[in-house]
Amino acid sequence: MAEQTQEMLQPSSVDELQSIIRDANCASVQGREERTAPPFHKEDPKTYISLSKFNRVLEYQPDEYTITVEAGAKISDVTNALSEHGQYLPFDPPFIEETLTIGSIIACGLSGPGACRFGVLRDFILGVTFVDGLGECIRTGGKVVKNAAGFDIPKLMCGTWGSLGAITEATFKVFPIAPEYRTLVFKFPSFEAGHSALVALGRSQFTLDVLDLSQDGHLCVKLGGQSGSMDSRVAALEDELGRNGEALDEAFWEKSIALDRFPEAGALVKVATSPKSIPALDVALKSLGQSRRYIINGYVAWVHWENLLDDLHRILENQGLTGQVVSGPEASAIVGKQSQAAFFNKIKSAFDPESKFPNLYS
Amino acid sequence: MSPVNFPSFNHPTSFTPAHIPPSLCESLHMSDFYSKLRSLFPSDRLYEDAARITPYVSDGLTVFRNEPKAVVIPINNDEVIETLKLCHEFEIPFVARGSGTSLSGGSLPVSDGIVISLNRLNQILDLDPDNRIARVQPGVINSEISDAAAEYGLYFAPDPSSQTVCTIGGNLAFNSGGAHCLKYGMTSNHILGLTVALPDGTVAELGNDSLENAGPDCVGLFVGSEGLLGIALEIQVRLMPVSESFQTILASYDSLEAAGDAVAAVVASGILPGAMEIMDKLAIEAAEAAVSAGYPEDAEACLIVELDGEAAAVDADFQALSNTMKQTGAKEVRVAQNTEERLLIWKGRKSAFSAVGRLSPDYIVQDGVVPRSKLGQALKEISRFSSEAGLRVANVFHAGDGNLHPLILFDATEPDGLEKAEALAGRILRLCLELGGSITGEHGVGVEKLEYMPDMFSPTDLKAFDRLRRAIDPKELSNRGKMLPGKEAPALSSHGPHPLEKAGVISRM
Repeated sequence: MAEQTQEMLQPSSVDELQSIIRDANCASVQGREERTAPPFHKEDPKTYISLSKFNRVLEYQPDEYTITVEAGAKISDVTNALSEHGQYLPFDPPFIEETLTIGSIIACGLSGPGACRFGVLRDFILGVTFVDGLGECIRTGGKVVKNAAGFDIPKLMCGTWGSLGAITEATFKVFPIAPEYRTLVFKFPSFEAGHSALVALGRSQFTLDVLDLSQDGHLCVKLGGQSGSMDSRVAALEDELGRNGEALDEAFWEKSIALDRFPEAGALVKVATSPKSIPALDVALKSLGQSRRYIINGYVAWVHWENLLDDLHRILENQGLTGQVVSGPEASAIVGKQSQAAFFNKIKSAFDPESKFPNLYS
Repeated sequence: MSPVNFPSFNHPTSFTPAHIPPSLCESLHMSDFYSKLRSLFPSDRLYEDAARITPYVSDGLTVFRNEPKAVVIPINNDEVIETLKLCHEFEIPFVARGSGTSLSGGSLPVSDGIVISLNRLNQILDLDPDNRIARVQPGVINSEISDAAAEYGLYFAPDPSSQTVCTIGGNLAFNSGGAHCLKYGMTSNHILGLTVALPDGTVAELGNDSLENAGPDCVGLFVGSEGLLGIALEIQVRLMPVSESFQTILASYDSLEAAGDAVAAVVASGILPGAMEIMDKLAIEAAEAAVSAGYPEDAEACLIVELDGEAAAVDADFQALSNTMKQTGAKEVRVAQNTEERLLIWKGRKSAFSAVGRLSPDYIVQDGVVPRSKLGQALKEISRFSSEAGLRVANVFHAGDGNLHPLILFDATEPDGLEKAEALAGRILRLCLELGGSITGEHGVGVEKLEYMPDMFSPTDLKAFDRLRRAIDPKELSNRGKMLPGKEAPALSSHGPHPLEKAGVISRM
């Protein structure tokens, strides 16, 4: 994170936020005291904005399966409010111990292992209100679970790292928590064997809440459902895999890829993968001794990268993959294939023509 | 080659010589465009005569029609790209079109523009069961993807009622829905990567083979953009494993409200069904007459609930659902005993639109959304509006996500027939907004709901949409006149001619 030389502005209304942005030369928005603010791209004067006063749940009607919250609300507060009514955010927001806010989770585009069952952040975001680089407050999407009116800017916002504006509130679709969950680890003798099982389970009729693969070839599986059905479902799964599962050990994941906290040093990088792109990626990462974890049925790789970022950029580019740095001094950097750059830069010019907010692609 | 050899004719934005009348300039300019188009397409794939253009003058929303100058039928990406470059150079608006099933006028042509028909780009290029992805061209029919994936136990989840004829390109442009959206999402949740031709003919690759992005979700923006950002040339769709087990129940009720309350009870029980659909008496009768689905004809409303998943999970959910349903006061609850019975229940539901259409010379369908808890209130109001307007309304809707589908029956040959129906439709859409919902759940804005956009979005929001569109398409050539209400539009009223009709842009059948 850039060194702070000025005090943090804490607007308490959208009007105030708009005037701060209109007056700013370059602005960086933080949800709370977090480590997810992208680095500045311009010289002084810089404007630091905290949305800590935007912290309310605005609308929550459990019967509607929707919740509308302000961007500075802590993820943990939102998940607590939902769980009181037996509901949850199905994209499973990670890094809970970092006290991330709703705004940062959207800006950083983060989903957790539990997204395996119903989908990632983009699949559950229904509406977003944000203040763009012109200082305009723009309300997009809707507050109902189904809506096809207007451009789907809520989805676009996922992974933009604040480059289009400051998100002030968002609406999500939520689902009921299952009455019971079971989590099991299947220890395959090799990475290849574990990977084969991951691919087979992904194509199968098992409906899994979590399907993660460790660098040792261990499959971590979670399933949820009515209490009376769990024994037979676990038995069917063990039958399919030809081995018994073990209970998940507290220290199963290495700290840097546990997805609870960002690592103290190095960069944590999210790579968009597919089940079949994993073996080649794993060979490259293993030879360099980097920790990695494959989540969501192999559609996302988390890499704890401790070398020069350029080296990872080349590896991913060669394999036709793209990653985004999520923590560390180079947070928000997009590494590997950059095919969206020209398209996104045009969109950026529509919302932030003076480039007050950070640039994602150079 | 044009006899008057002014290079400026190729550059419509540049200076026009004073001694050439503007109309001549215009026509020379246009003839240059068409001669270039003719060098791109053989005459059997370039229609310029009324006989072959006529089938393209309207889409599923037949009340509007508009004759394009030409229709081109590309058979490869290069032809699409070269067409767009020509349109860009000569500032000719274009409308991409699949099977023309849009219910919002999404593929209505522009009268001084061309239609690019994508039906011949209809190949499934690749189907990768391990990655659960198919790479397809835009003209592939929705249900053909599931057909091709079936041998791997996979399917494409979005299932609009028109799925046996509509194309994936149209589904993508309008973010189509279907009966399973609450649990599985809309089209946008099943499109992972795109190769798109932008309106100036440049090509961009968005997204990837993953369920997740690294960087902004540009695919999410492109899907549902109603063709305003360009044409998708190749589409990576997500495939899902076909569920191991289904339980489909059909419950009948003495009132629409009781059926709506049953939906609320299911939701409150914490069960997440794959689909929850309600049909009213008029829709039941029509569907029954059309396909004999075995629906109870003495019911005021019936509710379809479908569970899907692992067999043991569905069995357990079915027990819980049965307990819940017992308390909803259903007259009768039937459970599909086999696949045939299950498919018959769905056949009745999916035929309802066209079946209701047979009850009346004309009808229009709306797809407004209300919060689920407001369903009962919305239906009561619709019933009142219907009596006040003296027009019959059939209701078929995706109850799980509050997505209404009032079918307004009318006779266009009666004086004011269409105007009365549109006024009723407008009242219903404004009701949806008053109740906190949306003007469209899955059909899109198109031309049909343009005038309601200012009710849903503020001028600031609409200006932002406009800025975004012009950042990608500065000449506003791609599907011009859809989704974004024109800045010149007068104070809008749901009575009388459509604003576009007043402006001479569209006309009625």
